[in-house]
Parts: sequence; structure tokens; C-alpha cells
Amino acid sequence: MKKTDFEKELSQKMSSEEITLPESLSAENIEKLINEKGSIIEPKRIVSFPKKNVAKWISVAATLVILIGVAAVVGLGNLPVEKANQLNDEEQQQIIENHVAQTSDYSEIHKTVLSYYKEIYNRNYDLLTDSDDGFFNGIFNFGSKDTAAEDIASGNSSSSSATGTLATDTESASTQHSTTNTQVQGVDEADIVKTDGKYIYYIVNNTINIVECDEDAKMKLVSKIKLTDYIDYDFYPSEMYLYNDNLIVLLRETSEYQPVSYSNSNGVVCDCMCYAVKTDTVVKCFDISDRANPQESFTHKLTGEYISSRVTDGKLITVAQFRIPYDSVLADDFDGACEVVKDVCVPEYSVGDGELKKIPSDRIKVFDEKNPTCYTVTSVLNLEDMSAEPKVNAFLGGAEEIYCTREEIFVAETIYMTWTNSEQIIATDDLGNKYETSTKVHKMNITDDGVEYVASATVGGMCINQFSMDKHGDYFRIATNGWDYNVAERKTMVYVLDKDMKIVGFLDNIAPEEQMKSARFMGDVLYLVTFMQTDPLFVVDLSDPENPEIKGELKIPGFSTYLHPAGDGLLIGVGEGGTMTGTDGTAKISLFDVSDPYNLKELDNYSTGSYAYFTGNHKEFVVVDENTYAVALYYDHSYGKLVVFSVTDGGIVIDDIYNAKTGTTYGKTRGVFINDNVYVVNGTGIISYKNGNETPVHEIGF
Amino acid sequence: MKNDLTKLIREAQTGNSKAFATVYSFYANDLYRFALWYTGKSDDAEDCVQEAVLIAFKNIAKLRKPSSFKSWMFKILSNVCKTKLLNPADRLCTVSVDEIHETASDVSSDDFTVSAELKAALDSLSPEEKQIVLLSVIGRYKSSEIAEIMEMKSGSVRSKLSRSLEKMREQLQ
Repeated sequence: MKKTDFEKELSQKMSSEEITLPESLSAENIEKLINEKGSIIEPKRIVSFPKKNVAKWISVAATLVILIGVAAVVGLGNLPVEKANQLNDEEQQQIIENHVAQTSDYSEIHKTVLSYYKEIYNRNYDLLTDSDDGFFNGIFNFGSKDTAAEDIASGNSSSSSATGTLATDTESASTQHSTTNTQVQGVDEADIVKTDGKYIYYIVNNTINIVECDEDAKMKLVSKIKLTDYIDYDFYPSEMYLYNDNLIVLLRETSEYQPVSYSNSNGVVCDCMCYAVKTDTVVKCFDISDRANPQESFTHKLTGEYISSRVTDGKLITVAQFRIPYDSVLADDFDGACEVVKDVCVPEYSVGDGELKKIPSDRIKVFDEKNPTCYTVTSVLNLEDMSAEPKVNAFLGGAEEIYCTREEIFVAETIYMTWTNSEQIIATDDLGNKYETSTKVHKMNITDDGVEYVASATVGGMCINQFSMDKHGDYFRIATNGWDYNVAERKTMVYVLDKDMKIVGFLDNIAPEEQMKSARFMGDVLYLVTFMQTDPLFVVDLSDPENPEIKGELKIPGFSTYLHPAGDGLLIGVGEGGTMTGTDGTAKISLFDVSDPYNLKELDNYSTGSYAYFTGNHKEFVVVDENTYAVALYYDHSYGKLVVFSVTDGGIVIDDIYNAKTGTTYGKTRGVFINDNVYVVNGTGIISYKNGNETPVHEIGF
Repeated sequence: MKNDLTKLIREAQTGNSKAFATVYSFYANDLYRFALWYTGKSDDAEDCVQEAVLIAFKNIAKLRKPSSFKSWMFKILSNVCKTKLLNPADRLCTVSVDEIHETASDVSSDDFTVSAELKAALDSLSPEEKQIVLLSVIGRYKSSEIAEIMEMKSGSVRSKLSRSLEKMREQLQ
């Protein structure tokens, strides 16, 4: 992302501040420090260092330094514990077989996991290997892993085959209200705000606020649901669904692993444990038949971090990613470590107040995995009958973005380059091309018995978000951006895959050197926005799956991070403005005429000159009615602004601009439309308006 | 310079502390600056750089790609700084899980002489956000590099970075 002016300014300020390097940190003194202390290993820094032997190893190391001199420094480059526990390959393999033989249910998993573990255990925790077994992960990542539910705030979007959601949904004869802007019709997505035309439900920090709205746009806070006792800023916000008289919330909870008690072959009881913080995904359901008294009616947990979810055909599909915490294992020896790994390597789930239990092995799919580092854990909950147990499945493979239709889920996982002991393993797509990063896409079917794995494919580069993927007819398409390994050049690509996940079509090298900012699939057409200094909008023709080709290109200043088809050959782009040499961070709405793909035109644009507030999250965009849309576009003097505009006669007409309550809550502002009333909701409260009148009617705070 | 760096690192990998110190000297200012902004205190920053340097030297033999030295060094330093803020009291014995989860006591006294305003803006961020901002602004890493250092998706890095810069911009207005 091109650095904004503010960032450049900040960088200058922070780099120019008079900071003198203290004497102790000069090269000479550092050299002295290394000579003094470089060979002594500090016990608290070592993952698998036996606690009891700390003093022993310090004195051994110290003695060696004194006696042997410089050569010892070389020899002690390895951790002494490695030497002490250096069982040969055969011995380690025997230990693994003993561990695997003990249980029959999970033997396949244990075998795959333990042989991988043996490899990394012997590798001395290389820092630059795959992100899962970094040395410093184990030592320093005491807290939760720094992944968060960023789907809400991630950059770009592309659309799917179905049309966008119609804004209004008749509840009773006379209530019309807006709904969450989703990618696929019939597939609902979670958000921080929901409405049923009578109430607005909004999550702020750890609380759901239920606000009653009357026909005069007056509001009343009816009740609050406190989700957790603390505010988890790194996983923020939680998101929810409204389904009949239920609010279903997705949250995360952290907990600790329990220690494992183990006697080794010498009969010595060892301290073994995994000290990583466990992150679990929690589904909580609240019965809100009485809005003033919400009751928690159901809860369900999956081990792993929350990735995303969907509701379709009365089913809630939840996707979590569970990482095996190999590098946070603390044990006296390899045997004990294997015992811990066995204990923590199978994903679990719980229902209600029940204990977490391992997912049955016949519901876990294990491949011949060279890098079994994480699972994708899925559950399907029947919302019409929540007393039925959710159907939980898992497979060994990660998930970062999901694309979901009514019948299928596609889960995308980023694969980075890794190093083994002797070679660099470079990410390669299924066509044999090498990339610095690639994406594995896993296809699954949604059934009443849960999510069923079908097949996987590897494509080059990375997708940006859910809109980078689409299913149309029998084909799955994905737009990615990444670095070609051989040429070391960034490019955008489109892959077309058949129902067995075989690549049948590939369009390479779109906009070399540029980033991909947004994409939107509409049937046989893909609209793609790339950016380096200007915003080429590309139209890609996908009518022949085996031969995708670029039909048109339009270069305009700025770039769009969200594309929304407006019907009649019109495409709306929301993003940032700029000049022909770069972006200026200001907010912009563009209207493109895409009726003739060979002759794209920007018909109109609206630019405020104020900084963009829109984060690229499609949920900040609302379809009000056939020609009217709203977006939390920019802010001005601390007021976030909801811009309502119409697309008429090939131009953008700004209908109204409503202020949000003071206090910018970046990414968390939403416009809600109920009949003639407009509600601008953000983290500090709601301001209501009569449609067409920018004078506030009422205001409440959270 | 690149070739010299590679040669020096290879030498450091054989245990040559002088070679290592020379490599270090190329990054010394940036490392200290990063630690200073991160921890807010010059004492802590000094400790962090020293600890990070020791850890790096001990493990330099495992560095396969000399050209990655900078990322590697900053990753070590980031983690050391993060731990420093979690566990301000130095402990000699192994840290138990309970100790790890203890919240850091408030550190008062500030002898940091850089702009209090900038520091306050940085402090308004969460530890993760602060790390991203510093890696970008001081380390001058691209979002994909930061994504690898922090094990996140680059999309998340970008969105968290914009959000954090926004927060800071507001604070500084």
C-alpha cells in the first residue's frame, strides 16, 4: 500500500528525532557483551529446557567456555539440551511408534503429526521456517497469537454470481428495512449491526445493545447483552446474525492447556505441558422473544480461531482454524514432548456446558501432509432445531478467507515459502509455476451432516478477501496477486477451476508490478482493480472457462476498494481518490459505464476532499433501494459521514449526508434504513434522521 | 555492501563476534530507535537491544539467508520488546504459565526525551498495533514483510496499519 502523506510525515518525525545510541550499544561494547555472555544460555529463553537442570547447564556451559576458548563458542552454538537429548533417528522413530500404537482412533493423525514434530524438534526451531514453528513463537508468544477476525476490516472485495441483496425485505405489510450487504444471495453474513425493522441490534466492545425504533425515529435502549467480562481488543468486534427471534453471536475465548502427566521409560514423572494460549471460537445464541429480557439459549465451542461464518437455508456454518501449538511444548525430553503433542493435536468441540471433546477421527480428514500445522474446523448448526447437536468436521489444512454459496464452501489458505534442513520449498501452483506465496483452496460441500471435504487446488499469489472468489455454473474462479518467484515481479492472475478443482483456465500477468485492490465477479465477467499510481479497472471475460481474457482497461486516478454492480451496465466503485501519480487518501465514489467492455468509461465521480473513512469492507455499503445506496464514506471534523446517493441518468446524485455520532469508530459505522427513517450507528451510539432531512431527530449513546 | 554483509554474516556464523558486531553496527541505530519507541524508556530499550543481540548471536548459525538478517533481527527485537512490556521485572528462573499471564504493573518514570505527543499517540494503540506501526514507520517494512514477521495476513496488516495511523492522526490533531 502506498504510504499516505501522514505516514511519510510520521516516519520523518520519528526518524529525525534526536536519538543518540547509548554507549553500551556501540559496536565495540556489543562485541564485548557477546564475548562475555554470548555462549551462556539463559534458561528462561529456552522452550524445551528442563527446569530442574538450569543450574547444571549454566555451570557446564561456563566451564566449557573457560576451558576451551573460542572454539567452544562455535560448539555451543547448539543448545546443550539438544546434545543431551540427541537420540538418534531410530530411537526417536521408536518413540513415535510407541506413542502412535497406544491409541487406535487417532493413529493416523498422530503418525502424521509426530513425524512432522520430530523433524522440527531436530531442526532447532529455525526462525525463518514456516510461521508455525518459529523459535520465537514458542518463547515469546505467551499471549494469544496475533490473528484476529479481520474479515471485517480487510481491504477489497469482489462479487459473486448472484446479484447483491435487495435492500428491503418486507417483514410486516408496512415495514421495510435494510439488510447486510452480502456477497451471495440467500447466504447471510454476520455483522456488528442487524435490524428487523423494529429494533436495531448493535455490538459495541463486549455488549450487544438492543434499541427499539419507532416510526418517528425515536429510540429507546431496551436491553443489553454482556457477552464477556472483558473487552478483547485484539478480536474486535464479535459479529452476529439475527434469525427469527434469536441473536446468534460469534466470539472468541481464550484458555490454557492442561498439563500432561507422564512417566518416561525410566519411571520418572515428567513435567510436560503446552503453554500456548488456546483460542476457541464460541457460538452463543440468545432467545430474544422478549426483547427486554434476552436469554442465553444455546452455546457451542470449537477449538481454533474464528475465521468466518454464514447462515443459509436455516443452517449456521462456522469456520475456525486450529493451529497445533508445536512450538509451545515444554517437556524434559522428546518422549514427553510427543506425549504433549499427542494431547493437543486433535481439534475439539463442546456443546452447552459440556466439556470439550475430541472430534471423532472419522470426521477428521488427514492428508499425507508434509506440513500438518493447522486444521480447518467447521460446524453446521441447524437453526430451526438447536437442540440437535451441531455437526462438526475438520480437515488438516488452514483457512483464512472463505467463499460460501448455498451448497458449497471454498476455503483459502496462504502458503509461504519454507525451508527444511537442506532446501528451500517454494510455493508452486498446480500448473507448476513458482511463487513466493501461493494459496491452497479447499472445496467442501454443505450437507445436513456437516461440511464435507471434496478436493483442493493450489494457485499462485494470494486472494484479498471473499470477493476474490466466485462460483458460477460448474466453475470456481479466483483472482490473486503475488510475486512470481523466477521473475521476482508482482502480478495479478485469474484461475478457473472445474468441479474437481483442476485448473482449466489461467490468465497471467495482469498489471505487472501493481497491487490488486478489488475484484467483483458478475457471471461471465470479472471486474478487477489494480493499482500502483493509478487505478486500472479491467474487465475480464470468463465466458470461455479455458480462455479468460482481458476485454477492456480504464486508467483513472485513485482506486476502488469495493465494486458494486448497479444494474444497466453500471458499476459503482468506492475507494480513494488521487492524481495520476498516486493516491491522496481522500474518499471517492465512482460510477463506471461497463456496458461496452471494450470501451469503459468513468461516467461520474464524487469526491469530498476529506479523508476516507470507508475501509473497503462491503458491509459498510448499504443498498437502500433500486437506485439508492449509502456508504460510511468519509469523516470531517470528527464526524463520520454516511453518504446517501442515487445513480440516475448515468450520474451520481448525492441525496443526503448524515453525521454519525462524534468519535470516529473506524470500520464500525453502519447506516440502517427503516421505512422513512435513517439511523447512523457507530461505536458511540446512534443518531436518527428522517430520510431527506439532515437535522437529527434523536440521539442515544452506548 | 550486500556482498560484504553476506561475508560478514558467514563469518559471524563461525563464532566471530567481531564480524557479528560489525553487522550489528549497520542496524544499531534503527534497532535502538525501534526499541525506544516501543518500550518508551531508554533503559528498557537498551536492555531489549542487548538481549535481542545476544539471542541473535547465539542463533546466528541457523540463519540460512544472510539477506534476511534485518527481518530476522527485527523479529527478535520485536518479540523481546513485547515480552519486556509483559514482564517488566527480570526473572532468572523459568517463567511459569501463571507468571506469564500476570498483567504488567504500570511503569511510571519516563526519561524518554522524544516527543511526548508522538509517544502518547503510540501508546494509545494496542501492543499489536504499535508493533505494526513501528515496523512500518521505523523498520520501513512492506506489509507483506510485516505479515511474515507477525504471522498475520498482509490484508490484516494493511487494515490494522491504516486503522492505527488513523487513531494516531486523530490524537495528533
